Amino acid sequence: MQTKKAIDVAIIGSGMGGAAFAWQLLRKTAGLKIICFERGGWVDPSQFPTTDFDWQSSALAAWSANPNTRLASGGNVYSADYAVEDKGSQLKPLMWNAVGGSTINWSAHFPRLHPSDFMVRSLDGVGVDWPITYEELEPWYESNNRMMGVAGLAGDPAYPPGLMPEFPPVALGSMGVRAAQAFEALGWHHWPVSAAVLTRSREDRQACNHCGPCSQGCSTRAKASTDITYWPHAIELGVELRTHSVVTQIETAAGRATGVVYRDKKGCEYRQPADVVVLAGNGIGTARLLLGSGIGPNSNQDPLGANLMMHPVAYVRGFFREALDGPVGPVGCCLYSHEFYETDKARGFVRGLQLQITRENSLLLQALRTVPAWGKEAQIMVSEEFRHSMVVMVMTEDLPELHNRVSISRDVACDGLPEVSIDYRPAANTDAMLLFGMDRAEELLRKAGAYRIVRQPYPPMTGWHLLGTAAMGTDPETSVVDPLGRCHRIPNIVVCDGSVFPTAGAVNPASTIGALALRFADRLARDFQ
Amino acid sequence: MMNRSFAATVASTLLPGGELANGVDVPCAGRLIDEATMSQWIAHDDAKAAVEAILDEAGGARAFVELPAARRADALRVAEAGHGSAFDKLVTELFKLYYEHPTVLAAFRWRSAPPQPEGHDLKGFNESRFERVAARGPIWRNIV
Repeated sequence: MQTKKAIDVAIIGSGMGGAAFAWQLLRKTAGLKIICFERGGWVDPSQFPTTDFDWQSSALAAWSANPNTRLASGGNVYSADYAVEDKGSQLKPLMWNAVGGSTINWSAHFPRLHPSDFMVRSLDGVGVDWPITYEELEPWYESNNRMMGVAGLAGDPAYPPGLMPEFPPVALGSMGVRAAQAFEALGWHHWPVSAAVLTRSREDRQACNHCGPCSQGCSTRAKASTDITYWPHAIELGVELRTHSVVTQIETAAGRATGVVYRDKKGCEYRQPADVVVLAGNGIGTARLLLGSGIGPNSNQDPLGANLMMHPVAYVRGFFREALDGPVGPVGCCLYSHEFYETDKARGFVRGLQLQITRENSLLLQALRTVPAWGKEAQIMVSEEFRHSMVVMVMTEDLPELHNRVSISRDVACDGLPEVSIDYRPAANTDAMLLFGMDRAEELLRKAGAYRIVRQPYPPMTGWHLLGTAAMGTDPETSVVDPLGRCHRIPNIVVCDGSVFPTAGAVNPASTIGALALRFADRLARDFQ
Repeated sequence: MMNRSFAATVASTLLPGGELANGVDVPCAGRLIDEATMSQWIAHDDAKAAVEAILDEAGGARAFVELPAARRADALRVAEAGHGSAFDKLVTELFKLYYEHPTVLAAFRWRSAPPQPEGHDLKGFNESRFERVAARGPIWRNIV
């Protein structure tokens, strides 16, 4: 195996965490030699399926959000996927493995955690407290917003004051207006989402033209993804982004990481010595590499790979006599309500949930929900729904549990890493939250005028948020990394993705992942100075 | 023996079309999808067991085509009961062909062109709508 010239920092993964980390570290410490190893390649926005006539069915094959589906369909030319054994998981993992990571096919909903999310043990006696506070993270949320470009509305009473989105909110459309009127009639909080979507053009990114399927990539570049936000700046500063390079091992000696072993596109293996190794491969990929490198587990109580959180959701869908514009607009970005976000023990559970009005699916995806029904009745169901429905997504807090985990086997997968599996089942508290949330969603939809309601708890293809498998904390017995993302066992390994979340909150995590990565990189920069 | 007529009849039994809700009127699947595509669909490897079960139940392709509509549906139900996974695949693959077809999209009052580069119009944003929400004051849990 050829050994490359030693570098300062090897980053693994170029998504939200890896991109923000790389940019911030070199910005603060000029002259460092940093290489980011990305298993996939650059995605060409002109090749996204949203410009093709078969864009709907592509979401069920090579452009599915689920790596197993993509692999089963023959693979996606851009995403260097690995199979995830998920028979033991109620939710299927969703991710993207190329430059930009899962920001390529995310829905770009960009909320922050609440201050209470950082103190769930102290406040509610469940989960664990974060070792940092909202106030400590707030400046980094701001920095991340500036780099990504965020649309929204200032003054949301669900958050501490100070949020000032750069761009005006995404238009509500007729469906959003109807939802807002229903929220208003019930006296419930509702607010336009913070979205990493441009509503006005900026530099070489166009304003969103409301095409709909953000999860199949954004050809106008209105939706932020790190390949078009952080990476051009990081590369200009001097970070090397080495694509089609799969890191198969973190090498260690005497309690320190000495570098990584990686394979290039041709399958040639190299040793890359580095002073610091930074992981940003998501809650599955990062745990897989740490476990495969022998960094744990040390016991069956070991937090490495455990405490997987995936944010269970339910969809509650209302049917309306009037036509609505449900399938128009960025899919995750309409309204949310945090009326039920904070704990109220009278509800029979602790912590809370958000109600999110998302956009509706395409005709084909709506029709496929009727399977296994067929015949005229199934067709009538589709015609009752398409352009006549509103969907409320209920997303609950997810708390850490040791039995929800990422595991590796002794067998080696085609990418040279151990085969990986996940086990995940929601807790009883989550069941209670989801049921309460579905009841409230139904109340909202009835108030909006829906004549029929359909509930879909725990739809499997919703495992977007892969969190908690290398949790942050001060106790090495119960956490994997310290408050600065450094591994307790091997301090020159830093983790800067969703793996470090001690708890999950009830909102999408990307904004927090980026903020944490900026903070961790800033602190590491001080060590180099 | 499988032929175009058999495949089209299976397709039209699964998706018979006609007048639906909300003023939608769609053609049956058998009349919509071209012959080559239909042949590929009915020969799909993962749906083979279901197709064979339909043929067995009906007594062959020609016999299936000549059955009354209700009996054809019965034959499909037998296949569905015995080979659920293969039958679902048969249905799913047909749905992909049907609901992505320009004629069907138009019948549902949706354009057949892809989402980009045109995008869609969406009404603007009225900030005053949220003034009353903001006026309620903070609802986040102050932990100080």
